[in-house]
Amino acid sequence: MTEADTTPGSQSALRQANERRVVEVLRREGTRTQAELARATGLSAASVSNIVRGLRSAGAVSVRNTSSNGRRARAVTLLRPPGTVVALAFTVGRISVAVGDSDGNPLAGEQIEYDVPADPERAVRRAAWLAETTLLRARIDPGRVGAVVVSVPAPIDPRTGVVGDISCVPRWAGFRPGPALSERLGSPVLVENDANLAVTAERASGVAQGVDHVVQLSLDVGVGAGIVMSGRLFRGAGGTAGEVGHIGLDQRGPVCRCGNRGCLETFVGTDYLMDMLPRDSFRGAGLGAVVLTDVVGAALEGDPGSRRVIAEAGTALGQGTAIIANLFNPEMIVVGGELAEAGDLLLDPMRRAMELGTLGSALSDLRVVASTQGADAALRGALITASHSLS
Amino acid sequence: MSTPILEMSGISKTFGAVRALSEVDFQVDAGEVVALLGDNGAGKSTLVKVIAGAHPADNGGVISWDGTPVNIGTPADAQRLGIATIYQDLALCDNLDIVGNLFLGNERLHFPGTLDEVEMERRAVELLDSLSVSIPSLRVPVAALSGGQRQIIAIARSLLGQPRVVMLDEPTAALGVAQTAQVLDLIERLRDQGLGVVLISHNMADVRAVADRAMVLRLGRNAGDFPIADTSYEEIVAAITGASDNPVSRRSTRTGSSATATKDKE
Ligand SMILES: Nc1ncnc2c1ncn2[C@@H]1O[C@H](COP(=O)(O)OP(=O)(O)OP(=O)(O)O)[C@@H](O)[C@H]1O
Ligand SMILES: [Mg+2]
Ligand SMILES: [Zn+2]
Repeated sequence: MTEADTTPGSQSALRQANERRVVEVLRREGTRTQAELARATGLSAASVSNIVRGLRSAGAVSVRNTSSNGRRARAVTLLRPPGTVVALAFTVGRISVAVGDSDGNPLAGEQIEYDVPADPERAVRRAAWLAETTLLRARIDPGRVGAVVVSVPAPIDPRTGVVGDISCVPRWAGFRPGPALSERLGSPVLVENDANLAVTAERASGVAQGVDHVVQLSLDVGVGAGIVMSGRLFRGAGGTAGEVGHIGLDQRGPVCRCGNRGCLETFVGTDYLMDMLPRDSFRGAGLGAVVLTDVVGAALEGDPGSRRVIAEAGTALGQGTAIIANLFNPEMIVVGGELAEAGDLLLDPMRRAMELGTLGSALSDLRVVASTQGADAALRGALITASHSLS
Repeated sequence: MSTPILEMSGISKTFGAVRALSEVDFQVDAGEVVALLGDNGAGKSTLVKVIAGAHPADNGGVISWDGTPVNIGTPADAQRLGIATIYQDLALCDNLDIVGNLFLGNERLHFPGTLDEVEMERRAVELLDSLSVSIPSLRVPVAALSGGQRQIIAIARSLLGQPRVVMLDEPTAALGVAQTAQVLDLIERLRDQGLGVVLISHNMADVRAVADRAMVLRLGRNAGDFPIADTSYEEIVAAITGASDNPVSRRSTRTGSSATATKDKE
């Protein structure tokens, strides 16, 4: 067993101090062999070898076999400042974690199924476990984690980090996930809304690179929007900007969990869509086992019932988005989430509905595109945000 | 506070010249997960075996069940009280299917006469449902299951006798992340159902994820009892390694010869 196996925690203060000495030498003098590092720092060869192994697994150094005076040696080069970041994402049925280097490149990740809405304190406790376990298995010293960013599928008050009232995790209302996680993981924790993180990821490496005015819709059980205006996230005074799922579309529509009628969510939220499916459109599978990706798959293969359900969701989405476009005049609207994998089956009706409801001037330069980030957009956004918050 | 289900005080156990447990106190409440921690050889497995009736304790200690003194001299005594133990080697039968394994060794739970396969399967489904465990088919041989699924079947089997205390010796040691998570879920569910759970583990992340309390043994003696929520990782590790001893208490332990450790020098 190595030290990292048995000591997750900050017992490794001495080790961290020694690591800083090694990094300092590499930064000052460039590539050095392990023997030279031992001489320069006064550490034993074994400690240097241990420290280098840790730095390497964290992506901070590269190691190359070479020779020095005819003997085999290992040359160590500093790639980037050491420092690890952790991203955690809660969704309704899952907790995911990603560990990244100081540039936000992923080093390790895991995910588990979990009943997240049931109990926020338990979910946070389990998330801390998942982060610790992932670090441990990747042999990354938890003491090196410099920032943690957490994605929550609910509005978050940016002033207090408190979870808002109306979301797909109602029992989380009023809860602050930050302090418990920070205590557990021993590093600063930032809690952020999932749609805000998804748009961050889309701008860093997706379809919205270089776009400064963008609204990204995250379609799931609810509908969230990450709004970036003039290159900056727009959260609103209390963090509820972008809760577009509760834009009212039909005064006689179904009652929504927010208490209003006919909200956008009641036309595009996953649970509502599943209820709209025709009775026997999935012969063979028991209806309980059908999930949204099955519906999207069936639609792509031409199943008329599935196509209709998705097209109507697109129309509702366009009606809601028309309002957003009139308000914010974005250059791009990105549609993310499983439903977006239906592509133009969703986006064409959405674009048509937008043409009816949007100012011509707001529409002329507006592109409506599907996200390229896949299901873990928020997790990636969290990793990027954490790496930016380092230094 | 209510009476603990199981309460032990002054429990000692010697194997020849080896004193594996020295006047150990221990308790488990209903709806509580207690982690039993300590270095290799600290006496954790020995304590579990004393509770399970596999190694009766030396004379002198007291074991109470629901506040009443009891004697645990054999595994049958422990089972009758409602104590179930899942040892590290799970002793599942690879060639039997899940239903067969669940009822293996639980023959006294069968209805009189021959095994009623239909009834056994019905109860197996009911049991696994109550634990929210989903297994593709109850009729696959357990050899085909993952390590985590095997662990869960072993735990499920121990629940057929409707125990009130379940002891798990290193249940997550060889498991992957998702499988470990499933076992942690199961432990939480047992706690929610009001059982007392004793968890032996060397993995502090797992302990901090589900335990309410950590009871530390060192060299066969009590070395601390900590509420997990209010105790740092470092404090618990210090208790395990003995780093928290101040020099005075360390010296007195060393000089008080009978008070020490596991082995008398011969
Ligand atoms: N049957 C036995 N005969 C002789 N000595 C024994 C026996 N069982 C345990 N011991 C001794 O008792 C002490 C405690 O052992 P025990 O197995 O309880 O430790 P443990 O805390 O479970 O350790 P580990 O973490 O390694 O499983 C050790 O010194 C061990 O050698
Ligand atoms: Mg043991
Ligand atoms: Zn609503």
